[in-house]
Amino acid sequence: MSINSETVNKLAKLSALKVDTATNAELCHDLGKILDFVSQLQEVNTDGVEPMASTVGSNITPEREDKVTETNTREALMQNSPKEEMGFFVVPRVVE
Amino acid sequence: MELYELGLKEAATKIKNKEISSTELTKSLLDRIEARNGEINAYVTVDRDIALEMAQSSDTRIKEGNPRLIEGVPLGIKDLFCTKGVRTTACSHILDNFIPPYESTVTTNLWNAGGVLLGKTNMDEFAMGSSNESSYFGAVKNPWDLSRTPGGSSGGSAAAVADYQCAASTGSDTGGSIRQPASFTGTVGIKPTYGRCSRFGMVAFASSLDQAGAFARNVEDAALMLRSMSGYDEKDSTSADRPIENYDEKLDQFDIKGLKIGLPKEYFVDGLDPKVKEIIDQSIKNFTDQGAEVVEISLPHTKYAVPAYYIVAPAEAAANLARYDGMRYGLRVEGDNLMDTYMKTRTEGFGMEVKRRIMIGNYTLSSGYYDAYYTKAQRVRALITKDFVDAFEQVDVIFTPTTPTPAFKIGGKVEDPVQMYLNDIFTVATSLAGLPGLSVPAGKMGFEGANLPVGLQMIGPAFSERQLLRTAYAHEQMTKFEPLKA
Repeated sequence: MSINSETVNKLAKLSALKVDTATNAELCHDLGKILDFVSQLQEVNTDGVEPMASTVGSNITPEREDKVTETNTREALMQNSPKEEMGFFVVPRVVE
Repeated sequence: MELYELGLKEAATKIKNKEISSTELTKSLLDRIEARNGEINAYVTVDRDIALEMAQSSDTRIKEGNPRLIEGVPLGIKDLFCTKGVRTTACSHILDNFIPPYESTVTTNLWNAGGVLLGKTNMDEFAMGSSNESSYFGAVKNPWDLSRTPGGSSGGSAAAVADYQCAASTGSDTGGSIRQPASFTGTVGIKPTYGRCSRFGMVAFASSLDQAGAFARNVEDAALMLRSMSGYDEKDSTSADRPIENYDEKLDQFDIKGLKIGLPKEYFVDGLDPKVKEIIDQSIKNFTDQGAEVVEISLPHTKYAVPAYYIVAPAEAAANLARYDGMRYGLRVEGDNLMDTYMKTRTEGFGMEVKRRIMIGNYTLSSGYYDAYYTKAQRVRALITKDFVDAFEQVDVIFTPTTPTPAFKIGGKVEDPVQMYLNDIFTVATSLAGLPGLSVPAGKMGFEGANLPVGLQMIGPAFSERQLLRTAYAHEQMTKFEPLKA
Protein backbone atom coordinates (compact mmCIF):
# COMPACT_ATOMS: atom_id res chain seq x y z
CA MET A 1 0.00 0.00 0.00
CA SER A 2 1.36 3.38 -0.83
CA ILE A 3 0.90 6.29 1.47
CA ASN A 4 1.27 9.68 -0.16
CA SER A 5 2.86 12.75 1.34
CA GLU A 6 -0.52 14.38 1.79
CA THR A 7 -1.68 11.49 4.00
CA VAL A 8 1.55 11.68 5.99
CA ASN A 9 0.97 15.39 6.55
CA LYS A 10 -2.59 14.73 7.67
CA LEU A 11 -1.42 12.02 10.09
CA ALA A 12 1.32 14.31 11.39
CA LYS A 13 -1.28 16.97 12.11
CA LEU A 14 -3.56 14.46 13.87
CA SER A 15 -0.53 13.38 15.92
CA ALA A 16 0.59 16.96 16.67
CA LEU A 17 3.94 16.32 15.00
CA LYS A 18 5.90 18.34 12.47
CA VAL A 19 7.26 16.47 9.47
CA ASP A 20 9.84 18.01 7.15
CA THR A 21 10.20 17.03 3.50
CA ALA A 22 12.95 14.44 4.00
CA THR A 23 11.11 12.81 6.91
CA ASN A 24 7.88 12.87 4.94
CA ALA A 25 9.46 10.77 2.18
CA GLU A 26 10.87 8.34 4.73
CA LEU A 27 7.48 8.03 6.44
CA CYS A 28 5.66 7.46 3.13
CA HIS A 29 7.91 4.45 2.69
CA ASP A 30 7.92 3.13 6.27
CA LEU A 31 4.24 3.64 7.04
CA GLY A 32 3.29 2.13 3.68
CA LYS A 33 5.36 -0.92 4.46
CA ILE A 34 3.87 -1.30 7.94
CA LEU A 35 0.32 -0.90 6.61
CA ASP A 36 1.02 -3.47 3.90
CA PHE A 37 2.18 -5.85 6.58
CA VAL A 38 -0.79 -5.38 8.91
CA SER A 39 -3.24 -5.58 5.99
CA GLN A 40 -2.73 -9.35 6.02
CA LEU A 41 -5.51 -9.38 8.59
CA GLN A 42 -8.05 -8.77 5.84
CA GLU A 43 -7.72 -12.42 4.78
CA VAL A 44 -8.92 -13.70 8.18
CA ASN A 45 -12.56 -14.68 8.39
CA THR A 46 -13.90 -12.89 11.47
CA ASP A 47 -17.61 -13.23 10.76
CA GLY A 48 -19.53 -13.40 14.00
CA VAL A 49 -16.43 -12.77 16.13
CA GLU A 50 -16.82 -10.07 18.77
CA PRO A 51 -13.98 -7.52 18.96
CA MET A 52 -11.83 -8.06 22.04
CA ALA A 53 -10.66 -4.88 23.74
CA SER A 54 -9.25 -6.45 26.87
CA THR A 55 -8.40 -9.82 28.34
CA VAL A 56 -10.06 -8.77 31.58
CA GLY A 57 -13.80 -9.46 31.70
CA SER A 58 -15.64 -6.21 32.41
CA ASN A 59 -17.86 -8.02 34.92
CA ILE A 60 -14.98 -8.43 37.35
CA THR A 61 -13.81 -4.83 37.36
CA PRO A 62 -14.20 -3.70 40.96
CA GLU A 63 -15.32 -0.28 42.10
CA ARG A 64 -13.45 1.49 44.82
CA GLU A 65 -15.06 3.44 47.59
CA ASP A 66 -15.67 7.06 46.65
CA LYS A 67 -13.51 8.83 49.17
CA VAL A 68 -10.63 11.29 49.09
CA THR A 69 -7.26 9.54 49.27
CA GLU A 70 -4.88 12.20 48.00
CA THR A 71 -3.55 14.94 50.18
CA ASN A 72 -2.49 18.28 48.74
CA THR A 73 0.60 17.52 46.65
CA ARG A 74 0.59 20.75 44.68
CA GLU A 75 4.17 21.64 45.42
CA ALA A 76 5.49 18.23 44.39
CA LEU A 77 3.42 18.31 41.21
CA MET A 78 4.56 21.80 40.28
CA GLN A 79 8.19 20.74 40.55
CA ASN A 80 7.95 19.15 37.12
CA SER A 81 6.32 22.16 35.52
CA PRO A 82 8.28 23.48 32.52
CA LYS A 83 7.08 27.00 33.37
CA GLU A 84 5.51 28.12 36.61
CA GLU A 85 4.40 31.34 38.22
CA MET A 86 2.92 31.74 41.71
CA GLY A 87 2.00 28.05 41.85
CA PHE A 88 0.28 28.04 38.44
CA PHE A 89 1.25 26.41 35.16
CA VAL A 90 2.13 29.05 32.59
CA VAL A 91 0.91 28.03 29.12
CA PRO A 92 0.86 29.78 25.76
CA ARG A 93 -2.11 32.05 25.12
CA VAL A 94 -5.13 29.84 24.43
CA VAL A 95 -7.71 32.41 23.33
CA GLU A 96 -6.67 34.44 20.31
CA MET B 1 33.46 -14.81 44.78
CA GLU B 2 32.45 -11.17 44.88
CA LEU B 3 29.33 -9.99 46.67
CA TYR B 4 27.81 -8.64 43.46
CA GLU B 5 27.67 -12.21 42.11
CA LEU B 6 25.11 -13.30 44.70
CA GLY B 7 21.63 -14.22 43.54
CA LEU B 8 18.47 -12.70 45.05
CA LYS B 9 17.56 -15.53 47.44
CA GLU B 10 21.20 -16.17 48.30
CA ALA B 11 21.82 -12.51 49.14
CA ALA B 12 18.59 -12.15 51.13
CA THR B 13 19.49 -15.24 53.17
CA LYS B 14 23.03 -14.02 53.88
CA ILE B 15 21.75 -10.62 54.94
CA LYS B 16 19.12 -12.17 57.16
CA ASN B 17 21.77 -14.42 58.77
CA LYS B 18 24.00 -11.37 59.26
CA GLU B 19 26.79 -12.91 57.18
CA ILE B 20 26.86 -9.74 55.09
CA SER B 21 25.19 -6.36 55.42
CA SER B 22 22.95 -4.73 52.87
CA THR B 23 25.31 -1.76 52.83
CA GLU B 24 28.27 -3.99 51.87
CA LEU B 25 26.28 -5.65 49.12
CA THR B 26 24.91 -2.35 47.83
CA LYS B 27 28.39 -0.82 47.71
CA SER B 28 29.72 -3.85 45.87
CA LEU B 29 26.98 -3.53 43.23
CA LEU B 30 27.35 0.25 42.92
CA ASP B 31 31.08 -0.25 42.27
CA ARG B 32 30.33 -2.98 39.75
CA ILE B 33 27.95 -0.63 37.93
CA GLU B 34 30.50 2.16 37.98
CA ALA B 35 33.10 -0.15 36.47
CA ARG B 36 30.82 -1.68 33.83
CA ASN B 37 28.16 0.86 32.88
CA GLY B 38 30.36 2.81 30.48
CA GLU B 39 30.60 -0.34 28.39
CA ILE B 40 27.16 -1.97 28.81
CA ASN B 41 24.95 1.14 29.32
CA ALA B 42 22.39 -0.88 31.29
CA TYR B 43 21.59 1.93 33.74
CA VAL B 44 20.41 5.43 32.91
CA THR B 45 20.10 6.70 36.49
CA VAL B 46 22.00 5.53 39.57
CA ASP B 47 21.50 7.39 42.83
CA ARG B 48 24.19 6.23 45.22
CA ASP B 49 22.86 8.21 48.16
CA ILE B 50 19.34 6.84 47.92
CA ALA B 51 20.62 3.27 47.45
CA LEU B 52 22.88 3.50 50.49
CA GLU B 53 20.17 5.17 52.55
CA MET B 54 17.75 2.32 51.77
CA ALA B 55 20.49 -0.23 52.49
CA GLN B 56 21.16 1.44 55.82
CA SER B 57 17.51 1.22 56.81
CA SER B 58 17.50 -2.47 55.86
CA ASP B 59 20.54 -3.04 58.04
CA THR B 60 18.73 -1.33 60.91
CA ARG B 61 15.76 -3.63 60.41
CA ILE B 62 18.03 -6.67 60.45
CA LYS B 63 19.59 -5.46 63.67
CA GLU B 64 16.11 -5.12 65.15
CA GLY B 65 15.38 -8.69 64.08
CA ASN B 66 12.63 -7.68 61.73
CA PRO B 67 13.62 -8.73 58.19
CA ARG B 68 11.17 -8.89 55.30
CA LEU B 69 11.10 -11.17 52.23
CA ILE B 70 14.02 -9.71 50.26
CA GLU B 71 15.42 -7.44 52.94
CA GLY B 72 18.41 -5.42 51.84
CA VAL B 73 18.83 -6.74 48.30
CA PRO B 74 19.45 -4.03 45.67
CA LEU B 75 17.35 -4.23 42.51
CA GLY B 76 17.40 -2.76 39.01
CA ILE B 77 14.17 -0.99 38.06
CA LYS B 78 13.16 -0.46 34.45
CA ASP B 79 12.96 3.26 33.81
CA LEU B 80 9.21 3.20 33.20
CA PHE B 81 8.28 2.46 36.81
CA CYS B 82 7.73 5.77 38.59
CA THR B 83 10.04 6.10 41.57
CA LYS B 84 9.22 8.94 43.91
CA GLY B 85 11.93 11.59 43.84
CA VAL B 86 14.08 9.63 41.35
CA ARG B 87 14.11 10.63 37.68
CA THR B 88 11.87 8.44 35.53
CA THR B 89 11.98 8.98 31.77
CA ALA B 90 10.89 5.80 29.94
CA CYS B 91 14.10 6.68 28.09
CA SER B 92 12.34 9.41 26.16
CA HIS B 93 13.61 12.95 25.67
CA ILE B 94 10.05 14.15 26.29
CA LEU B 95 10.29 12.98 29.93
CA ASP B 96 13.88 14.17 30.34
CA ASN B 97 13.71 15.70 33.76
CA PHE B 98 10.58 14.09 35.09
CA ILE B 99 10.80 13.45 38.84
CA PRO B 100 7.69 11.48 39.85
CA PRO B 101 5.85 12.82 42.89
CA TYR B 102 4.54 9.30 43.53
CA GLU B 103 5.71 5.68 43.52
CA SER B 104 4.46 2.91 41.23
CA THR B 105 2.66 0.05 42.97
CA VAL B 106 5.16 -2.54 41.71
CA THR B 107 8.11 -0.67 43.23
CA THR B 108 6.09 0.14 46.38
CA ASN B 109 5.58 -3.61 46.81
CA LEU B 110 9.29 -4.25 46.30
CA TRP B 111 10.32 -1.64 48.87
CA ASN B 112 7.73 -3.02 51.29
CA ALA B 113 9.39 -6.42 50.85
CA GLY B 114 12.74 -4.88 51.78
CA GLY B 115 14.21 -4.23 48.32
CA VAL B 116 16.75 -1.48 47.72
CA LEU B 117 16.61 0.81 44.67
CA LEU B 118 19.94 0.41 42.93
CA GLY B 119 19.14 2.33 39.77
CA LYS B 120 16.87 2.79 36.76
CA THR B 121 17.58 0.60 33.77
CA ASN B 122 17.80 1.51 30.10
CA MET B 123 15.00 0.54 27.70
CA ASP B 124 13.59 1.28 24.29
CA GLU B 125 11.82 4.65 24.29
CA PHE B 126 8.37 4.10 25.85
CA ALA B 127 9.11 0.35 25.57
CA MET B 128 8.69 0.54 21.80
CA GLY B 129 11.37 -1.64 20.32
CA SER B 130 12.99 -5.06 20.34
CA SER B 131 16.65 -4.07 20.50
CA ASN B 132 16.98 -1.19 22.97
CA GLU B 133 18.20 0.98 20.12
CA SER B 134 15.33 3.47 20.37
CA SER B 135 16.43 4.65 23.84
CA TYR B 136 17.20 8.36 24.08
CA PHE B 137 20.20 7.32 26.17
CA GLY B 138 21.69 5.04 23.53
CA ALA B 139 21.65 1.31 22.94
CA VAL B 140 22.47 -1.25 25.64
CA LYS B 141 25.17 -3.77 24.79
CA ASN B 142 24.77 -7.48 25.27
CA PRO B 143 27.30 -8.68 27.86
CA TRP B 144 27.72 -11.94 25.87
CA ASP B 145 28.99 -9.99 22.85
CA LEU B 146 29.27 -6.23 22.95
CA SER B 147 28.49 -5.84 19.25
CA ARG B 148 25.03 -7.30 19.83
CA THR B 149 21.76 -6.12 21.30
CA PRO B 150 20.49 -7.56 24.59
CA GLY B 151 17.01 -7.36 23.05
CA GLY B 152 14.25 -5.01 24.04
CA SER B 153 12.44 -3.26 25.27
CA SER B 154 13.69 -4.27 28.75
CA GLY B 155 17.27 -4.53 27.43
CA GLY B 156 18.89 -2.69 30.34
CA SER B 157 17.15 -4.84 32.95
CA ALA B 158 18.21 -8.04 31.18
CA ALA B 159 21.80 -6.93 30.59
CA ALA B 160 22.16 -5.69 34.19
CA VAL B 161 21.14 -9.12 35.52
CA ALA B 162 23.33 -11.06 33.04
CA ASP B 163 26.32 -8.82 33.83
CA TYR B 164 25.97 -9.08 37.63
CA GLN B 165 25.01 -5.44 37.98
CA CYS B 166 22.01 -6.55 40.07
CA ALA B 167 20.61 -9.90 41.21
CA ALA B 168 17.14 -9.23 39.85
CA SER B 169 15.29 -6.49 38.01
CA THR B 170 11.84 -5.45 36.91
CA GLY B 171 10.78 -5.41 33.31
CA SER B 172 7.60 -4.82 31.41
CA ASP B 173 6.27 -6.89 28.56
CA THR B 174 3.79 -5.58 26.00
CA GLY B 175 4.62 -7.95 23.14
CA GLY B 176 7.70 -9.81 24.33
CA SER B 177 9.78 -7.14 26.05
CA ILE B 178 10.75 -9.41 28.95
CA ARG B 179 10.95 -12.81 27.28
CA GLN B 180 12.97 -11.79 24.21
CA PRO B 181 15.72 -9.96 26.17
CA ALA B 182 15.82 -12.85 28.67
CA SER B 183 16.44 -15.21 25.77
CA PHE B 184 19.15 -12.95 24.29
CA THR B 185 21.02 -12.59 27.58
CA GLY B 186 20.75 -16.12 29.03
CA THR B 187 18.59 -14.97 31.92
CA VAL B 188 15.18 -16.03 33.26
CA GLY B 189 12.37 -13.62 32.41
CA ILE B 190 8.74 -13.99 33.40
CA LYS B 191 5.75 -12.03 32.18
CA PRO B 192 2.82 -12.99 34.39
CA THR B 193 -0.85 -13.03 33.44
CA TYR B 194 -2.23 -9.62 32.51
CA GLY B 195 -3.50 -8.11 35.76
CA ARG B 196 -1.16 -10.01 38.09
CA CYS B 197 1.00 -6.90 38.64
CA SER B 198 -0.48 -3.44 38.96
CA ARG B 199 0.08 -0.96 36.16
CA PHE B 200 -0.30 2.01 38.51
CA GLY B 201 2.70 4.28 38.11
CA MET B 202 4.02 2.38 35.12
CA VAL B 203 4.47 4.70 32.12
CA ALA B 204 1.78 3.52 29.69
CA PHE B 205 2.48 2.17 26.22
CA ALA B 206 -0.46 -0.10 25.29
CA SER B 207 -2.72 -0.40 28.31
CA SER B 208 -4.53 -3.64 27.38
CA LEU B 209 -1.17 -5.40 26.92
CA ASP B 210 1.35 -3.80 29.31
CA GLN B 211 2.31 -6.12 32.13
CA ALA B 212 5.17 -5.94 34.61
CA GLY B 213 7.43 -8.90 35.25
CA ALA B 214 10.85 -9.94 36.47
CA PHE B 215 14.38 -10.92 35.44
CA ALA B 216 16.84 -13.01 37.44
CA ARG B 217 19.71 -15.44 36.86
CA ASN B 218 17.74 -18.45 38.04
CA VAL B 219 14.12 -19.59 38.29
CA GLU B 220 13.90 -19.43 42.07
CA ASP B 221 15.03 -15.80 42.09
CA ALA B 222 12.61 -14.87 39.32
CA ALA B 223 9.82 -16.52 41.32
CA LEU B 224 10.81 -14.65 44.48
CA MET B 225 10.99 -11.38 42.59
CA LEU B 226 7.54 -11.93 41.06
CA ARG B 227 6.10 -12.78 44.44
CA SER B 228 7.56 -9.55 45.86
CA MET B 229 6.16 -7.28 43.18
CA SER B 230 2.74 -8.71 42.31
CA GLY B 231 -0.66 -8.36 43.92
CA TYR B 232 -4.04 -6.72 43.68
CA ASP B 233 -4.15 -2.95 43.59
CA GLU B 234 -7.29 -0.88 43.80
CA LYS B 235 -5.49 1.88 41.89
CA ASP B 236 -5.51 -0.31 38.75
CA SER B 237 -9.00 -1.38 37.74
CA THR B 238 -7.57 -4.15 35.54
CA SER B 239 -5.48 -5.64 38.31
CA ALA B 240 -6.56 -9.12 39.38
CA ASP B 241 -8.17 -9.49 42.78
CA ARG B 242 -6.43 -12.73 43.68
CA PRO B 243 -4.13 -13.54 46.57
CA ILE B 244 -0.36 -13.42 46.03
CA GLU B 245 1.15 -16.87 45.73
CA ASN B 246 4.46 -17.95 47.21
CA TYR B 247 5.88 -18.76 43.81
CA ASP B 248 9.38 -19.41 45.12
CA GLU B 249 8.35 -22.11 47.57
CA LYS B 250 8.27 -25.85 46.85
CA LEU B 251 9.55 -25.33 43.34
CA ASP B 252 10.85 -28.90 43.29
CA GLN B 253 7.51 -30.43 44.26
CA PHE B 254 6.52 -31.13 40.74
CA ASP B 255 5.92 -34.36 38.94
CA ILE B 256 7.03 -34.28 35.32
CA LYS B 257 5.45 -37.68 34.74
CA GLY B 258 2.20 -37.18 32.89
CA LEU B 259 2.83 -33.49 32.14
CA LYS B 260 1.27 -32.71 28.78
CA ILE B 261 3.48 -30.40 26.74
CA GLY B 262 1.94 -28.77 23.68
CA LEU B 263 4.14 -28.02 20.70
CA PRO B 264 2.35 -25.64 18.34
CA LYS B 265 3.28 -26.62 14.80
CA GLU B 266 3.03 -22.97 13.70
CA TYR B 267 6.02 -22.09 15.88
CA PHE B 268 8.37 -24.66 14.39
CA VAL B 269 8.56 -23.24 10.89
CA ASP B 270 10.80 -21.60 8.31
CA GLY B 271 12.89 -18.81 9.70
CA LEU B 272 13.58 -20.75 12.87
CA ASP B 273 17.33 -21.32 13.04
CA PRO B 274 17.95 -25.13 12.91
CA LYS B 275 20.41 -24.87 15.78
CA VAL B 276 17.78 -23.11 17.91
CA LYS B 277 15.42 -25.96 17.09
CA GLU B 278 18.03 -28.53 18.09
CA ILE B 279 18.42 -26.89 21.51
CA ILE B 280 14.65 -26.70 22.05
CA ASP B 281 14.28 -30.35 20.95
CA GLN B 282 16.85 -31.35 23.56
CA SER B 283 14.87 -29.51 26.27
CA ILE B 284 11.72 -31.32 25.20
CA LYS B 285 13.55 -34.64 25.22
CA ASN B 286 14.68 -34.02 28.79
CA PHE B 287 11.04 -33.77 29.77
CA THR B 288 9.85 -36.79 27.78
CA ASP B 289 12.70 -38.86 29.26
CA GLN B 290 11.14 -38.12 32.65
CA GLY B 291 7.69 -39.22 31.54
CA ALA B 292 6.18 -36.06 30.07
CA GLU B 293 3.93 -36.44 27.09
CA VAL B 294 4.28 -34.34 23.94
CA VAL B 295 1.18 -33.31 22.04
CA GLU B 296 1.37 -31.59 18.68
CA ILE B 297 -1.14 -28.78 18.76
CA SER B 298 -2.22 -26.07 16.37
CA LEU B 299 -2.64 -22.37 17.11
CA PRO B 300 -4.00 -21.61 13.66
CA HIS B 301 -4.04 -17.79 13.92
CA THR B 302 -0.39 -17.51 14.98
CA LYS B 303 0.58 -15.95 11.66
CA TYR B 304 -1.73 -13.02 12.33
CA ALA B 305 -0.50 -12.24 15.83
CA VAL B 306 2.24 -9.82 14.80
CA PRO B 307 0.04 -7.83 12.38
CA ALA B 308 -2.82 -7.72 14.93
CA TYR B 309 -0.39 -6.57 17.59
CA TYR B 310 1.00 -3.82 15.35
CA ILE B 311 -2.50 -2.41 15.00
CA VAL B 312 -3.69 -2.78 18.59
CA ALA B 313 -0.49 -1.61 20.31
CA PRO B 314 0.12 1.55 18.20
CA ALA B 315 -3.56 2.52 18.46
CA GLU B 316 -3.40 2.35 22.25
CA ALA B 317 -0.02 4.10 22.18
CA ALA B 318 -1.34 6.97 20.06
CA ALA B 319 -4.05 7.54 22.66
CA ASN B 320 -1.75 7.14 25.67
CA LEU B 321 0.98 9.38 24.30
CA ALA B 322 -1.43 12.21 23.50
CA ARG B 323 -0.86 13.34 27.09
CA TYR B 324 2.65 14.56 26.29
CA ASP B 325 1.97 18.16 25.39
CA GLY B 326 4.72 20.01 27.22
CA MET B 327 2.35 21.88 29.51
CA ARG B 328 2.56 20.33 32.98
CA TYR B 329 5.71 18.21 33.02
CA GLY B 330 8.53 17.03 30.82
CA LEU B 331 10.05 18.79 27.85
CA ARG B 332 8.54 21.99 26.46
CA VAL B 333 9.77 23.64 23.27
CA GLU B 334 8.19 27.08 22.98
CA GLY B 335 6.47 27.86 19.68
CA ASP B 336 4.53 30.76 18.18
CA ASN B 337 1.23 29.67 19.71
CA LEU B 338 -0.33 26.81 21.66
CA MET B 339 -0.55 24.35 18.75
CA ASP B 340 2.93 25.24 17.59
CA THR B 341 4.27 24.60 21.09
CA TYR B 342 2.54 21.20 21.20
CA MET B 343 3.98 20.26 17.84
CA LYS B 344 7.51 21.50 18.47
CA THR B 345 7.58 19.78 21.86
CA ARG B 346 6.39 16.44 20.51
CA THR B 347 8.54 16.61 17.38
CA GLU B 348 11.69 17.19 19.40
CA GLY B 349 10.66 15.02 22.35
CA PHE B 350 9.75 11.76 20.58
CA GLY B 351 12.14 9.53 18.66
CA MET B 352 11.42 8.14 15.20
CA GLU B 353 9.99 4.75 16.21
CA VAL B 354 7.60 6.39 18.67
CA LYS B 355 6.48 8.86 15.98
CA ARG B 356 5.90 6.03 13.50
CA ARG B 357 3.74 4.18 15.99
CA ILE B 358 1.72 7.26 16.95
CA MET B 359 1.04 7.94 13.28
CA ILE B 360 0.12 4.32 12.52
CA GLY B 361 -2.17 4.39 15.54
CA ASN B 362 -3.85 7.56 14.40
CA TYR B 363 -4.22 6.10 10.91
CA THR B 364 -5.93 2.92 12.07
CA LEU B 365 -8.14 4.85 14.48
CA SER B 366 -9.25 7.48 11.99
CA SER B 367 -12.76 7.44 10.60
CA GLY B 368 -13.04 5.35 7.48
CA TYR B 369 -10.21 3.02 8.60
CA TYR B 370 -11.30 2.25 12.14
CA ASP B 371 -13.39 -0.82 11.30
CA ALA B 372 -11.06 -2.16 8.62
CA TYR B 373 -8.00 -1.98 10.86
CA TYR B 374 -8.67 -1.47 14.54
CA THR B 375 -11.91 -3.42 14.99
CA LYS B 376 -10.61 -6.10 12.64
CA ALA B 377 -7.47 -6.49 14.75
CA GLN B 378 -9.59 -6.78 17.89
CA ARG B 379 -11.61 -9.57 16.27
CA VAL B 380 -8.41 -11.37 15.29
CA ARG B 381 -7.19 -10.91 18.86
CA ALA B 382 -10.30 -12.78 20.02
CA LEU B 383 -9.48 -15.64 17.62
CA ILE B 384 -5.86 -15.78 18.79
CA THR B 385 -7.06 -15.96 22.40
CA LYS B 386 -9.50 -18.73 21.53
CA ASP B 387 -6.68 -20.74 19.93
CA PHE B 388 -4.97 -20.80 23.32
CA VAL B 389 -8.16 -21.63 25.22
CA ASP B 390 -8.71 -24.61 22.90
CA ALA B 391 -5.08 -25.71 23.23
CA PHE B 392 -5.17 -25.67 27.03
CA GLU B 393 -8.04 -28.13 26.93
CA GLN B 394 -5.52 -30.65 25.62
CA VAL B 395 -2.23 -29.66 27.27
CA ASP B 396 -0.85 -28.25 30.54
CA VAL B 397 1.87 -26.06 29.10
CA ILE B 398 3.10 -24.94 25.69
CA PHE B 399 6.79 -24.98 24.77
CA THR B 400 8.20 -22.86 21.95
CA PRO B 401 11.48 -21.16 21.13
CA THR B 402 11.45 -17.62 22.60
CA THR B 403 12.99 -16.10 19.48
CA PRO B 404 13.77 -17.44 15.98
CA THR B 405 17.50 -16.63 16.35
CA PRO B 406 19.92 -15.61 19.10
CA ALA B 407 20.84 -11.95 19.67
CA PHE B 408 21.38 -9.98 16.47
CA LYS B 409 23.88 -7.20 15.93
CA ILE B 410 23.26 -3.64 17.02
CA GLY B 411 22.19 -1.81 13.86
CA GLY B 412 21.23 -5.10 12.22
CA LYS B 413 17.49 -4.53 11.87
CA VAL B 414 17.05 -0.88 12.63
CA GLU B 415 16.60 0.12 8.98
CA ASP B 416 13.52 -2.01 8.44
CA PRO B 417 10.68 -1.63 10.97
CA VAL B 418 8.83 -4.72 9.72
CA GLN B 419 11.93 -6.95 10.14
CA MET B 420 12.29 -5.59 13.68
CA TYR B 421 8.61 -6.34 14.38
CA LEU B 422 9.02 -9.94 13.21
CA ASN B 423 11.44 -10.51 16.03
CA ASP B 424 8.38 -10.69 18.30
CA ILE B 425 6.85 -13.49 16.27
CA PHE B 426 6.90 -16.09 19.08
CA THR B 427 6.00 -13.76 21.94
CA VAL B 428 3.19 -11.40 20.85
CA ALA B 429 0.37 -13.96 20.69
CA THR B 430 0.76 -14.67 24.42
CA SER B 431 0.54 -10.95 25.15
CA LEU B 432 -2.57 -10.49 23.02
CA ALA B 433 -4.20 -13.36 24.95
CA GLY B 434 -2.98 -11.94 28.29
CA LEU B 435 -1.39 -15.26 29.27
CA PRO B 436 1.68 -15.85 31.42
CA GLY B 437 4.90 -16.69 29.61
CA LEU B 438 8.47 -17.07 30.60
CA SER B 439 11.82 -17.62 28.96
CA VAL B 440 14.48 -19.87 30.47
CA PRO B 441 17.98 -20.45 29.13
CA ALA B 442 18.00 -23.72 27.17
CA GLY B 443 21.51 -23.77 25.75
CA LYS B 444 24.12 -21.94 23.72
CA MET B 445 24.94 -22.01 20.05
CA GLY B 446 27.47 -20.64 17.60
CA PHE B 447 25.91 -17.80 15.64
CA GLU B 448 27.76 -15.48 13.27
CA GLY B 449 31.01 -16.27 15.03
CA ALA B 450 29.72 -15.75 18.57
CA ASN B 451 28.63 -18.19 21.26
CA LEU B 452 25.18 -17.04 22.35
CA PRO B 453 22.38 -18.16 24.67
CA VAL B 454 19.05 -19.50 23.42
CA GLY B 455 15.82 -19.34 25.42
CA LEU B 456 12.92 -21.75 25.72
CA GLN B 457 9.51 -20.12 26.10
CA MET B 458 6.87 -21.72 28.32
CA ILE B 459 3.29 -20.50 28.08
CA GLY B 460 0.54 -21.47 30.52
CA PRO B 461 -3.16 -20.84 31.10
CA ALA B 462 -4.17 -17.62 32.89
CA PHE B 463 -2.80 -17.39 36.44
CA SER B 464 -0.80 -20.62 36.16
CA GLU B 465 2.45 -18.86 37.16
CA ARG B 466 3.08 -21.31 39.95
CA GLN B 467 2.89 -24.35 37.68
CA LEU B 468 4.88 -22.52 35.00
CA LEU B 469 7.70 -21.64 37.40
CA ARG B 470 7.84 -25.22 38.67
CA THR B 471 8.08 -26.48 35.10
CA ALA B 472 10.85 -23.94 34.48
CA TYR B 473 12.62 -25.04 37.64
CA ALA B 474 12.52 -28.67 36.51
CA HIS B 475 13.96 -27.56 33.16
CA GLU B 476 16.72 -25.64 34.90
CA GLN B 477 17.71 -28.71 36.95
CA MET B 478 17.94 -30.87 33.82
CA THR B 479 19.62 -28.31 31.56
CA LYS B 480 22.55 -27.15 33.69
CA PHE B 481 22.94 -23.99 31.63
CA GLU B 482 26.15 -22.21 32.43
CA PRO B 483 25.59 -18.48 32.82
CA LEU B 484 28.03 -15.79 31.83
CA LYS B 485 31.02 -15.53 34.15
CA ALA B 486 31.34 -12.33 36.14
